[in-house]
Amino acid sequence: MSSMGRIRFRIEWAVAAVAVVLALLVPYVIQSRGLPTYWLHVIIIAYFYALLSSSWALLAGVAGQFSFAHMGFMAIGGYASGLVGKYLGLPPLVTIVLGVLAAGLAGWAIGALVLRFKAAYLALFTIAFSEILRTLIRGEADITRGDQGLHVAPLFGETISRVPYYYAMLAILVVCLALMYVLISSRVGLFLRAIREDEEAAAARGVDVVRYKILAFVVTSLIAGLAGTFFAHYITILTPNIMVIPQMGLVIAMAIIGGVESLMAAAIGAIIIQVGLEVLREFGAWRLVIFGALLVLTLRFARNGLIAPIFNRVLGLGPKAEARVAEEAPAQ
Amino acid sequence: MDYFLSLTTTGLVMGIIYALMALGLTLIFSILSVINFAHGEFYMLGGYVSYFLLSTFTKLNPFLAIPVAGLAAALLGIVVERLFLRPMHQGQIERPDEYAILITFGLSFFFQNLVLAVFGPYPHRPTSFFSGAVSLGGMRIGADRLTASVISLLLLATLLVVINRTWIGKALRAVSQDKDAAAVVGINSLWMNTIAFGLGVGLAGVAGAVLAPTFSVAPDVGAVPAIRSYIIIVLGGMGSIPGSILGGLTIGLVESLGAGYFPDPSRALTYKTVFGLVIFALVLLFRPRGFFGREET
Amino acid sequence: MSTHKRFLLIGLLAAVLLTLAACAQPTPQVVEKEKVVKETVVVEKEKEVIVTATPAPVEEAETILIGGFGPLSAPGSYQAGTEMRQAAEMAVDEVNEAGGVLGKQVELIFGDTEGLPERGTAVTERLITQNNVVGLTGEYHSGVGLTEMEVAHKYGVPVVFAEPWADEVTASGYPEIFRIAPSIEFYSSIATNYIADVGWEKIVFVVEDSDYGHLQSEEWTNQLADMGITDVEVIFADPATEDFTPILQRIAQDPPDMLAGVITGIGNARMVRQACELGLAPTAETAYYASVDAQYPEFWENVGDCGQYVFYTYVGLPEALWNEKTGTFMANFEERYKHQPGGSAMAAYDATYLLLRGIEQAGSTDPDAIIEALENIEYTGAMGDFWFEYTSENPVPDDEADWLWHQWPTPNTYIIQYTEVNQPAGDANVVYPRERATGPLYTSP
Repeated sequence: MSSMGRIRFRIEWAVAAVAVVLALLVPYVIQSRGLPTYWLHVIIIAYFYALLSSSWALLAGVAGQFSFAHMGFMAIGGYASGLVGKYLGLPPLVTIVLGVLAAGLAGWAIGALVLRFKAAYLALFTIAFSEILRTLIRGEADITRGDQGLHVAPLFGETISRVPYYYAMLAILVVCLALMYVLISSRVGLFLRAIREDEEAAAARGVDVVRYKILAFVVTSLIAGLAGTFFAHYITILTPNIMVIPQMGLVIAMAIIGGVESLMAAAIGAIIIQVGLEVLREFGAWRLVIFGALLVLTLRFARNGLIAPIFNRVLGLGPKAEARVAEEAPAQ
Repeated sequence: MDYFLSLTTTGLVMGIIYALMALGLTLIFSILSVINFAHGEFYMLGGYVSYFLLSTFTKLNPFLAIPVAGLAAALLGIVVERLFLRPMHQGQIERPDEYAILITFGLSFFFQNLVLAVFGPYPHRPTSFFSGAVSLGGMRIGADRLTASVISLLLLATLLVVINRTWIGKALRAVSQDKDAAAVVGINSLWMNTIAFGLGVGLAGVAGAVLAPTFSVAPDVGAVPAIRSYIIIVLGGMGSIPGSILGGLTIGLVESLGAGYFPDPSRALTYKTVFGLVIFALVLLFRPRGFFGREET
Repeated sequence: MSTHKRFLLIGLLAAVLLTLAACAQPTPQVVEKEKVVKETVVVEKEKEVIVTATPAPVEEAETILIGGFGPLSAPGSYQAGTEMRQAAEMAVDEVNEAGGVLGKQVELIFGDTEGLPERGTAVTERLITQNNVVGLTGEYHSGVGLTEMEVAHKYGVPVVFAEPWADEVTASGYPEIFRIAPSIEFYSSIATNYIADVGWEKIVFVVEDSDYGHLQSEEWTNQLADMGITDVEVIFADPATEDFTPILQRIAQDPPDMLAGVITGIGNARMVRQACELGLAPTAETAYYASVDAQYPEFWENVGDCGQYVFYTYVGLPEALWNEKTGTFMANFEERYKHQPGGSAMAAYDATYLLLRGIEQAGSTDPDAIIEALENIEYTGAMGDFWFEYTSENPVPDDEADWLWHQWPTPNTYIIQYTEVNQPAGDANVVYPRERATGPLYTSP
């Protein structure tokens, strides 16, 4: 590594330290300034969407699996945790682990089933899966309480403070993002990109296509499941409406507008959109019309999203640098 | 009439209309290799055009609203195709398969919210074609519903003739079978794309207009028929026209007989959509080419 | 590898800046960090967020802020929610024109709960902690009301609920919670007593599989069973169902005395038409009970001739029983919004007035004073004379139902039957309870 590289490396660490300190300070700033704690809630939910949209970006943008079942896996995590807690009386920390595992298991099963499908068939199959799941949760109200909402134990007991939830969600987001970056910077990331570009060519070059495709589903479902369990134990009530197709559309739109090929851009896109929709709430129906138009125009004219190109420019990176990363990765 | 027979009649009457809508979807898929995730919204828009027209010009014959709704949907479809889908076929878009899914999905989101913002949430219904019901061998069928079914049947027959007998139909079929070979004989596949997309969503608009007096319209009415259409074209074999007709009739029967005979009546309606979705998932998994589809997944 | 790290770090920084900007007032510190990042778009976004997110200083406020909540978009019942917001706005404007409350103008901030319990929590929290509202009113969905109630209780802010029916709302016994809507037990009892009085014995309910449908079907089944009516079948349906015909054909195999279609939104009209086209109901043999959505003028546009002889439970004051205020409210609402209001609008209108009267009588915006004033309130609104029987001075006795706490004892709930095609809801017969009826118990086709 050159001396120039070392300096840049140090700057990055300094920036990271500042970022983490600032993130840690958010609740303090809100409290000390007497700002409404409501905004802490908005940011927690924004982190929740950031986790979903970045993990969907990993599945769709990196691995090329355009699944519509991501919110379904999220709901599996949340409902599994809530139901186990309700019927077996286990504490939230245990049920969260079980919920995440259930989502991962479902991800493995769906990943294995859709192996052969091309884009359009995959999209249709995952929509069908998601809708069947939602109808079941709604229909079996005796068990899930359906639309009346399943009450879930709060993660941090009876406290009315949102601060512990904020730090928990922040920690989950940072750790999951870091893990996903480690994953895509490794050989696995290279293989996933190779499969996305040309599955047959990748297979011919000895990439175990089946294994890596399923791996992508399992990892992203685990993360979606974790997001779902956290959401369940934070909001403490779950309804099947959290997994309707428009909600899935929202997550997809967040990732697309951020930039589907960069996990970080997808996460930032989610945070901006979630906060933006909240700020623009009084515009009512027209807010979603503008949002829809933005989504379509981004897709057509800015395939890399609106956030990712800014990153590239600020960092002096271009598409070439992206390619270089992909080439460098296996060498390490 | 016998219970089974009357359920069968209900299923077939609706199945024909389902087939019409699915046929548009399958036509688009066979030419453009695109699944139109905004198909339900063109259906919804067709219904709103009909409602808007008939509530503005109250003396108008309700039948006139059908071609107008179809044309309006087709024109909108042509604009959408030229703006958003053509660049894909000109090689300007990376990974077109993913793009096609996302762009049509985004459009459906946009149209739905646009109609909600403009027309508001209240359900509306255009003027009936004929009021009351018709008795068929002791079984009563709504006159509007029967009219919708008959119109759909006539339109299906016309389309089959157009596709099999006319120059444009032959050109479309040629493009769906082999783009390159079609280009050699002088067929501009870009134009065929536009025609197929306009025709396909125009059919959705017609379906929306003929069913609006029966089911009323609201901004979110497109979702259920859209999902049903995906099921039908997968069942029939993606891109197959006879497949979509047979698939439509099958789904009409499954929904009707399923709700009529499901062991636990209290859940029969809740699971009516699930029957279709489960069949759909199974077909995708075990016989992805459906009834008549070509061997490819 | 290092490129990815750079993405990660810069991204994290940008995220944190944004979140800070969303909640912090602009400080020199934050602006400095903006310069470091040099992201024009992000900076623009921040400015926008800062401008709109910073609450106005509330000390010595010129206006009194009250909060409203209800579903304004799907999956909530946004038809009802929209007219509730309109009615609440109208009430606030009227009060302001007449000089406001405590000599100050009133401002209403209405939050969209989308019919989602989790949104209800968030909206209530926002209204209380960000907007600093002194009281809350509205809500349509019980499931959402139950979560909003917890937040209001946590912060000790009074709520006058207009529409949520679940018994648990007032059965909670929370001092902050008041309700002018009927409880589900009371609401259902009107319909079940009516069924028993007419003498129907075989009943089929098609209900939507939502909280609305589940709550009602349970209560009905239990109440009817207590009256010895046990031949009751409940069929659940997705409210987005297009075609009920197959299940109606199934029901027609053995037609009941009464068929109920308890589906909100577009499904209500669809089922009325389909049952009528099949010749199943309303007929001489089978009566048809529609959902509360039958009160809207769009009902006729959507069902045509099929709406004749349909009946439904109406919450609100039917035209025949209007007082002076009801007439003024209906006329003003229709003039202002070009739409005839339903019962939800009337309830939201009165609930808003009640809250404002409570503040006026309390003489301050202190929550405890408002609660005390509401406990002793006597007010005549568009729906009748309001008062709360069981309060902290007069707790609910052990032999009475818990939900009577802070509950308006006589919520107006009537069975209305249309006897003519295109009949305005106001001209239709009030058929039950009999002491206030304007027409025969049941008019058969």
